[in-house]
Amino acid sequence: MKTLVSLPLLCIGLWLATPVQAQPSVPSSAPASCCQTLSTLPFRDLPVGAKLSISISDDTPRFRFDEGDSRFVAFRLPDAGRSFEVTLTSLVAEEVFQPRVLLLDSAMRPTRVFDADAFPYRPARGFAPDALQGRLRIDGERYLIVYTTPYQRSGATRLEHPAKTFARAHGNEPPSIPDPVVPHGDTGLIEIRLDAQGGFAPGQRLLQPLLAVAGTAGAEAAQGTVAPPEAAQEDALPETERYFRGAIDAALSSGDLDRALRLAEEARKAGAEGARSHLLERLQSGLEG
Amino acid sequence: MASESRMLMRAPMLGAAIAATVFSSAAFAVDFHGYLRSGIGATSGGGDQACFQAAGAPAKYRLGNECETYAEVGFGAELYNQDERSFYLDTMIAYKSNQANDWEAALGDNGDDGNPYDNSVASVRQFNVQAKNVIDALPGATLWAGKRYYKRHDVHINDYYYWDLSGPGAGIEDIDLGFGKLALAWTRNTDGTWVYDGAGTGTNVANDTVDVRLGDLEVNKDGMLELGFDYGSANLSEIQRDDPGFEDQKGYLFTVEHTQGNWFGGFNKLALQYATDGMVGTGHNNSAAGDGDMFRLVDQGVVKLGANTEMMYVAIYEDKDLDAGNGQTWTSFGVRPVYNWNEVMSTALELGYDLVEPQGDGDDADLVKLTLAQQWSAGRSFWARPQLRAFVTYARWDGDVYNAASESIDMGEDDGLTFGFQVEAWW
Repeated sequence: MKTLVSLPLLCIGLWLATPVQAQPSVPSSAPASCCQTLSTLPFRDLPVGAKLSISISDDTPRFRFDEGDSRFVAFRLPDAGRSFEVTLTSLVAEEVFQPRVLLLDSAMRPTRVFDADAFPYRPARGFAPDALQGRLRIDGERYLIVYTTPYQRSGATRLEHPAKTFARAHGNEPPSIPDPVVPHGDTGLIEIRLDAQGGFAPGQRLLQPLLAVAGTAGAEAAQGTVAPPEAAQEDALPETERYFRGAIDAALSSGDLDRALRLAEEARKAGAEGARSHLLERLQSGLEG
Repeated sequence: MASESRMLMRAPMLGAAIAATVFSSAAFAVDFHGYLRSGIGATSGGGDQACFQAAGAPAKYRLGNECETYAEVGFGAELYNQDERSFYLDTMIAYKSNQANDWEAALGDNGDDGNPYDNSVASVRQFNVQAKNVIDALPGATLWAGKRYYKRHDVHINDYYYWDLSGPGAGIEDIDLGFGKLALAWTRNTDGTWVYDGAGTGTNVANDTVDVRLGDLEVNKDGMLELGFDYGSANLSEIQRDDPGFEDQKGYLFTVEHTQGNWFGGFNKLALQYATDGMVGTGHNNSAAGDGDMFRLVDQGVVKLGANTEMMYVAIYEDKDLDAGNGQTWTSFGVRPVYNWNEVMSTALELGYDLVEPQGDGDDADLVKLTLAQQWSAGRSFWARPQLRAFVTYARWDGDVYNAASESIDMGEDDGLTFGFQVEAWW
């Protein structure tokens, strides 16, 4: 008699216990930040010529960046005293990790940020799938951090429909159908490659124009990132402008006029208008002197 | 410590989102695009792979049923771009061989001399320049000239091009009318040698097709309409015109096509076509054709049947009613469901049916083809390529009427079984 009664009681006990056990043991509202400061982030080496594929998943550490909490991958760049070119690709799956890149100098001071505009949509081409991709020049910076922002995560990217990609490759009329839209998220697969700028690696720079097949210009123009409206670009802070002036001076003193011009152009895009006149003044004084 | 990091971050973050430096690695980027299908197969019972097609049918279901190597290699580049005005050069060379030997030279006779070592053909099928925004009055429009695949419409699973007037030509496309886009083109084809008064030798008859298309007409949600009008006629020389024994043919082809997006996870395309006399066909004039007309319906699409399953389907009905009584109707149905096991492996089944009924006396020709293929591809979309396939194909037809096999099957046989491997790729 006793066992007959206790069996249903046991069942009820289990039924009651189940939802309790299902409660998450860690509060989900505030994901833990891995580190207190940028300098203590877990950096991994990115050697010249390396091509790394990194999955950004639930196991990837998080950090509270100024723009908000985000998963990230941090790299230590070679100290070769020269420029590098980084190619960063974020592959599209159910969602896509829309990257943002922060560069730090050797003293772990932030120098530049590359926002979403630096990683536009690259339609599937060759056998490579849809991706967000950008190429960045590294001028003396030593650390590179790939992350995203809550603001970016609220956006989405319009892709080219694969039936249209097929039609273009085949010389057929693409079907007039809407393109799929993939939401931005905080997981994904990124590929990063570091090349020595101006190096002459056979099969790389020589064949790149042929092998780095670009999508048809028209199709790329028609696609693009759909993002919430962003605030109007502001003038750069004095610190940013100082950085560019210093970099221009360094380039001029090493006789690299091309680099100085490029820096001035980047500075202009960043809202640091004074850098250009600084360069002109330096050139002017050089001519007069 | 957290506040320290925030201070460090402020300068670049709030100051400005510094725009990217995008590099151009060369003066221009070359688009490398193309297509390939090739492989090896055999017929059960012995012999090279047979391919199966109903007698008189303009197409056959292609999965595990292609016996040749066909490739297209194209390079294109935007060679000029100033103030939104651009010039794009596009090129493409096509190659086809019997897939029988290592050395299959392209001597131009397609192996007709019986030499198995020169059974291939090659042709420059595209070589054109597309000039965008060069006419101030038509912003966004593209002027083009040269050899070109011009707005071809096809059905993928049976490789059937129902609207294709490709060839040498010139035109202007993407004229924005506000409610739709207009394209005008003039293309050329030839259809054999004209024979003077039924006797002496003549020259090729040049045919013109004038094509007018109005597309991107939004008629319902995610639904677009395209209207097409083609006029084809022979462009006769004086001696051809004066030949009383020579009558040239001309005709019209009307096309209405509706494309529905967001259709069960994919899309549907319905095309209705009506053609007369010389334009009975798919877009080229035939100056030697008889009188008559043609109606054609093509409905096709790709739908999602589940999280891992996509299917392409097609239904075709074509009625050629010719005054000479030698027309026919062609009915065709096909489905190709594909189940994706993971990112790179899938299983495809293709079932196709064709029925050709002659307008006059004569036997009907019908054919059922079934193919099972295990496929490996880069990605899980129906369109993902390259795709390597191991296939088994079975086809059945009435052997008393005709032989549907291209080779290796004896006359009078009613069915055939083939197997093999194939790669299909586009990029």
